[in-house]
Amino acid sequence: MSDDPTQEVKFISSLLTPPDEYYNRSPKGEHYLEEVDEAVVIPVGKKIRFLITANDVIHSWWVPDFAVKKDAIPGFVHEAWAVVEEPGIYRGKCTELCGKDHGFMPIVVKAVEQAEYETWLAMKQQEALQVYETVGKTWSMAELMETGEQVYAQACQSCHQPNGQGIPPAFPSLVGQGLAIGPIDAHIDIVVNGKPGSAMQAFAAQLNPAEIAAVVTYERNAWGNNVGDLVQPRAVNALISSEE
Amino acid sequence: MSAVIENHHDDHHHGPDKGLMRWVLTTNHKDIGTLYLWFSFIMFLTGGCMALVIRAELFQPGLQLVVPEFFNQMTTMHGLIMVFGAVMPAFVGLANWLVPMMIGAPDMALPRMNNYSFWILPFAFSMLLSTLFMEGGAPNFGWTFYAPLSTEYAPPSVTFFIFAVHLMGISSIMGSINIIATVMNMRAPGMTYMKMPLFVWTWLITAFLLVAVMPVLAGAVTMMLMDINFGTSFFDAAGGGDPVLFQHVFWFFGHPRSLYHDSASLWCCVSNHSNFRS
Ligand code: HEC
Ligand code: HEM
Ligand SMILES: [Cu+2]
Repeated sequence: MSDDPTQEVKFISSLLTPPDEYYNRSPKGEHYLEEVDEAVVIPVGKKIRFLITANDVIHSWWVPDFAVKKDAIPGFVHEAWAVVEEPGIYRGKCTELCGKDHGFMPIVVKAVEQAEYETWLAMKQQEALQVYETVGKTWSMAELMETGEQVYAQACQSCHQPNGQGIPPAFPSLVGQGLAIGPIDAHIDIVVNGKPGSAMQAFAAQLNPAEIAAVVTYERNAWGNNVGDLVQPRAVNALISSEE
Repeated sequence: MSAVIENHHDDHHHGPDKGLMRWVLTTNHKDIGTLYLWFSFIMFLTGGCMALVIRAELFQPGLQLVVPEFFNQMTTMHGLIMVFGAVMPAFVGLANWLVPMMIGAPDMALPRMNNYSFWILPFAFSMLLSTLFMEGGAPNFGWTFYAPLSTEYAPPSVTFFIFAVHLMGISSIMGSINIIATVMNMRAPGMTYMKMPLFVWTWLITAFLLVAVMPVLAGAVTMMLMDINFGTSFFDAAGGGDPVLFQHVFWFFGHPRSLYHDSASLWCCVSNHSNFRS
């Protein structure tokens, strides 16, 4: 976390289509598999430069209406640009096979008038400020568990599975074994820094310290893991800052 | 004169071995061509079954029959089997049958190697198909197997896939050397290069291309093997490597292979036949 939390706006855009739709348990919506919770917001009438990279495998950022299709390559930054004239919602998809969830990672770009863009930006900066403050406060176990469950569902369960059992040997189980019931420092470390050379990536850039603290606490106390300890976001933040 | 020679029969039976051994031991270019064509057909059906799974799943939107992991295994294996197991052996089979006949040669120049090139293939593809039954499943990263999806994020069976690709490469290179040797040395008197049928010409060129590019593919999979098992970082930016290097190396192989090999042979089959008819 930088000292001025409003300097950059961070968000993760995830699939919004509920699993019930792709498991055929409920009718499919209009934008089935083409809707996200956090669209990329850009102003119209301006030249926008997109910098594209990846943190795991190769993906490809494709928005046909912008005539942009750029590979997103881990460790490299590609750029593309577009001037969008019409306000509206533009949809795209990942177009480089990136694993089992390749079909579940749409792109949504929302082009808005400059004024609306500025409102959005201000709102995002406000949110960043809030996160900054929540990291400072002392969390209760219940709060950590609640947030942790959400973070886990969004960031971890594609590999470690909703029940924590993983898909051994590729993705280890977190239940009743290993770091999730072992020393908490090592547990935090693997989530913050990942494990080089494995699919377990570093989450320090993707999750904020509160989310990391919450998900670690959650893993230690969910699915019958009853370690009983917890970690405060403050401590995670201190760890990340000390490593920077 | 000794009795031994008097009792010797010069007319003992010469033909091929009987039964299965005829096919296992054959050095006859037509037999081997037939083996290649049957092998190709079996692989076509195998890959076709996988295509059926793919299409059945895609019949309607939503997850119908298989989970995404398995779906990706099906597309990957379908692609690999069709490209390396159906199309390539089909053209080698045709080459085995036709090249000697078209240039007036009694057989291929290196008949035992011909037998060996073919018999590697069933082993290579058994190994590839066996990955379907392994823990973590078969290769699931697409037939172009881009790193790091095929290295850091691959199922453990990727090592078997790599070895299978090596075997296919060995088979292909030996087959190509055989075709080059045959065309350059075994033409009948009067069969000059300019009189050689188009099919033979395309195969001569294709064979040179294959000898040049199959080792590059072998290099790509060997680099994968090193990245996965021996801690190198050819394709990992975190260690100073470059994931795009994989794509360059792969397509150095894949581009000539797919375009010139498959299409050149195909179109020259077509043009040969239309020549005969016109
Ligand atoms: C892309 C797949 C993937 C995702 C997403 C993922 N992990 Fe992992 N995780 C792994 C792999 C693979 C390992 C095993 C690393 C090793 O030891 O080689 C691992 C290991 C771990 C371990 C250590 C297990 C042990 O006992 O050694 C923990 C703890 C962990 N992950 C937590 C998380 C958390 C928390 C998240 C979400 C914020 C997460 N993982 C997301 C793939 C993933
Ligand atoms: C039997 C008839 C065939 C059918 C029904 C069929 C069907 C398919 C389908 C549906 C896909 C797309 C999968 C996806 O990405 O969603 C596919 C991919 C592919 N097919 Fe076929 N196919 C057939 C024959 C062939 C043949 C003869 C070849 C030989 C060149 C071939 C080579 C490929 C390749 C290379 C891919 C890409 C695989 C990948 O993405 O990794 N197919 N096929
Ligand atoms: Cu993708």
